[in-house]
Amino acid sequence: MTGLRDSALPHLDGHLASSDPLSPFAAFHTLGAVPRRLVSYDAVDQWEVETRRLPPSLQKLRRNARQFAEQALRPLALETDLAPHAEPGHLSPQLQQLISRTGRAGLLSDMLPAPLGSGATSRFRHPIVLQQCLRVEELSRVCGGLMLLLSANVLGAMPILLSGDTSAIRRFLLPVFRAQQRGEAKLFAFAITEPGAGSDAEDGHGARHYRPGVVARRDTGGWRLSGRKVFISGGDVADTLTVFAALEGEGMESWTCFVVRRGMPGFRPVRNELKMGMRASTASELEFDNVFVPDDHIVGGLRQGWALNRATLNLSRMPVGALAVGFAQGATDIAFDFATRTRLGGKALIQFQEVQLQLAQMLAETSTARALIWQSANAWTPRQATSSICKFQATDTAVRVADMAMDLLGNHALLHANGAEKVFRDARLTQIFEGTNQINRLAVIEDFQDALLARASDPATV
Amino acid sequence: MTNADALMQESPSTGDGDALPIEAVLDEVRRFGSHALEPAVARHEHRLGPERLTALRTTSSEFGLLCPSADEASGLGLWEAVERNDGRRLSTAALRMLAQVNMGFAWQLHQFALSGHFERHVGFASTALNLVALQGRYGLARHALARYLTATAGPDDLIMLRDYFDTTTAPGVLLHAAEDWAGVWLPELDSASVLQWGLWPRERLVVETHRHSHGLDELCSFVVCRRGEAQAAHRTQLDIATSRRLLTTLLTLNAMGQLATGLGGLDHAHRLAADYAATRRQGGGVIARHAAVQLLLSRARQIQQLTSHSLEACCACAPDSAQTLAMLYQTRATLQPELCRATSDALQVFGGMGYMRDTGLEKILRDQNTLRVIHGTPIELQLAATALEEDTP
Ligand SMILES: Cc1cc2nc3c(=O)[nH]c(=O)nc-3n(C[C@H](O)[C@H](O)[C@H](O)COP(=O)(O)OP(=O)(O)OC[C@H]3O[C@@H](n4cnc5c(N)ncnc54)[C@H](O)[C@@H]3O)c2cc1C
Repeated sequence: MTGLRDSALPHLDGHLASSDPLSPFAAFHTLGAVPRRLVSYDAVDQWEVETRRLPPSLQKLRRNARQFAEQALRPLALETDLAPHAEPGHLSPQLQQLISRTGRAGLLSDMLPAPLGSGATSRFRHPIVLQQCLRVEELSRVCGGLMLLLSANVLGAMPILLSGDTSAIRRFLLPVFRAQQRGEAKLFAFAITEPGAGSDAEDGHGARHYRPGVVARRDTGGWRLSGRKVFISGGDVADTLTVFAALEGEGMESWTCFVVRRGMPGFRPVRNELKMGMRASTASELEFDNVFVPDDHIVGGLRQGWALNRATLNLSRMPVGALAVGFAQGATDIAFDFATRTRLGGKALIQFQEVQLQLAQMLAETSTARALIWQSANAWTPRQATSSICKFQATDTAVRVADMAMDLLGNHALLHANGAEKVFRDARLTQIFEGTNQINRLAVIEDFQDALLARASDPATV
Repeated sequence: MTNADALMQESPSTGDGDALPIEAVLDEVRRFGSHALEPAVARHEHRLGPERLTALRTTSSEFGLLCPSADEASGLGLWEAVERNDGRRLSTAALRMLAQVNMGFAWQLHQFALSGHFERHVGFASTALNLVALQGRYGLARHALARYLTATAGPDDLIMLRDYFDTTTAPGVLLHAAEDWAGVWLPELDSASVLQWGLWPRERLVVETHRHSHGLDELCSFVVCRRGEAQAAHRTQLDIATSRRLLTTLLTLNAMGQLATGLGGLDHAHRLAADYAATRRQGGGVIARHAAVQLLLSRARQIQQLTSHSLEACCACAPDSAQTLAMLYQTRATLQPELCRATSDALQVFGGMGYMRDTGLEKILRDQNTLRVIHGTPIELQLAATALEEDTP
């Protein structure tokens, strides 16, 4: 590390200077041209190394996302985390500006290529999920709450996109995309969870036993929705919500996806939860009091809701893994920064071996989780098991790495300004939402069920 | 024979004189916890404000839990009869009990009680609420502090220690305490390299107050430096052996307090989670029936049992011995992260509700994290314990 000199050449304690003949980097220079290509050393950081491995259009996406996060999110991150929880339906001017800025930058509507959405066409040679993963990682690295405020939008829009219903896409997605690009603070939200169904809204076995809480009753020309949804990210400020409800007198297999618009009579955000972290984003309780939803606001047809829900989760759980990687990276960056600028006994902490060991471990855990996500997201049709594995593995990693960052900062981790404790509070949510990590583990087995049953019924099985 | 067995033999379980009326004192603590403290903290999402905290502390002083001055010590308050096994057991049990209701309240009482023990030991009569700073700028000064305690510190260790305890320059030391402290005892190596303590009234310090800390919301973080040319109001004149013994005892009692408070917090988290699991229905029945939830709850039980037994073993050892401190440091290095994980598991039982302030779980987790990272994180504890174990003459 430059500047840390206690002998002739700059080096860290316990290491040789990279120009020392016994350092691998100096030694590599003595090799011939061909082997040198195999072992070359370049003094760039891990992020740059990984970015360069991506195809050019995704490199650009990743670089832009980082730059946007640093410029637009970083200045707001700590302040919005401390701000009191907003009243339902209220967005601070700062957050409104952020949403419009993000929309104008094309980052809210790039699930589709231009001219339908705002994504660069060249990117769409690569799966949408991979694109989402690259972006959310960069946003959550800087601030979980702001990331969730901006990214729950994708989750809300996903059932409409997945329905393949061109009329619904044309009527509900594209106008909002255009408004977003003009800088209007319009967002989507996704509403499946009910007071009596969290896991039961994400797991078929539980759903089979559940008596639906939000019910749609037939009325002339449409349906009347009654009941409550809870914990809906951005549900109080969203312009358009994809709301899942059962048909009157039927079970969860009748779940249908309805588009509910802010301002529809009878629809009311009741309260926002007081949360541990992710505080820039609201988790809202929504009341549906006989809300009239016209027939043409049904997405994908009656009784298609469960399929759209599960498909949405398959596509969103990998990005949840990716945002967890962003937390791990954010925590790692904070720890590196602290270790290089904090001194003890006349030395920067980075000089101490135990600190080096811990930082290397944090890097390794983060890179391993990222490798899993990148490899898994590079498929157009992610299967349930893969998505769930990404989700629980990366989110457990994120919390572990955030713990390690707090340990490295020691009692300084307690100070809000140092950022590590915020990463922990934000990251802790990821083990709970989009299906708890327990439910996601069970989803892996559900996905392999038939193969496992076949093995279990094989007469050769003892 | 293990280290712990040997130490327990040195410090027979009966201690000196008659047994302390532990159960009677704990009954009183229990009553205080349920009648006075619990109603004040029942709304988890509301911070227990400084005035209420002070009022509750006064009540706890009135029934003798926190001794208001050296000459009023009954031997039954927190960290009063520290030389006796049952005295240490009484203190850890009382802290655990208070932390079952609110960890922040328990921790500030522990801090003031520890400072009271210090002042009695150095013969300083005070009715003011002083703190004793036990941690320097960062961590545990790697091996240096441990080597000072075992009389094996070399010149490099002393350089490290001087820097570690230096409060003349920013950032100074970080305290996490109740807002109404009057002064703080800051350690400093004197010219003969003996660790002495100076009492610094608050007005002679530059104090930066941080109201937003990770956990123990009832308290604040303070970054403390000495003010310009200001002098300490009082200084100790300890010989080196006394200085070492005193610091060893303080660090030992502090670590016991940390474990006891963490254990009380886990008791609380487990109780809340078990109650919730017995009523919340998902997956076709109450969630307590699902193996996934049973595993989460069972981890909390394991760590409760392990911490309780370890604490009992540590209480039975002489508090002024480097070996006891090493044992406590190793125990903390193992159990403090486990207390966090088990609390996190209890939170997980609540699903999304666990993430919300009103259920209280997220606060207990933040409090546990706080206790994990102050006074040595697991890696620092291991380095210090290794130095204590290797170098004990
Ligand atoms: C901040 C936040 C934002 C959210 N955003 C949204 C959103 O935008 N839209 C939305 O619809 N929802 C959202 N959610 C809801 C989230 O997806 C649920 O909280 C989550 O699925 C867990 O459900 P639950 O909270 O009801 O927990 P429960 O289902 O009650 O689970 C409690 C415990 O029981 C266990 N459990 C439950 N069922 C079983 C079973 N069958 N087998 C074994 N163990 C079981 C769980 O693993 C957990 O440990 C959000 C939640 C939070 C906290």
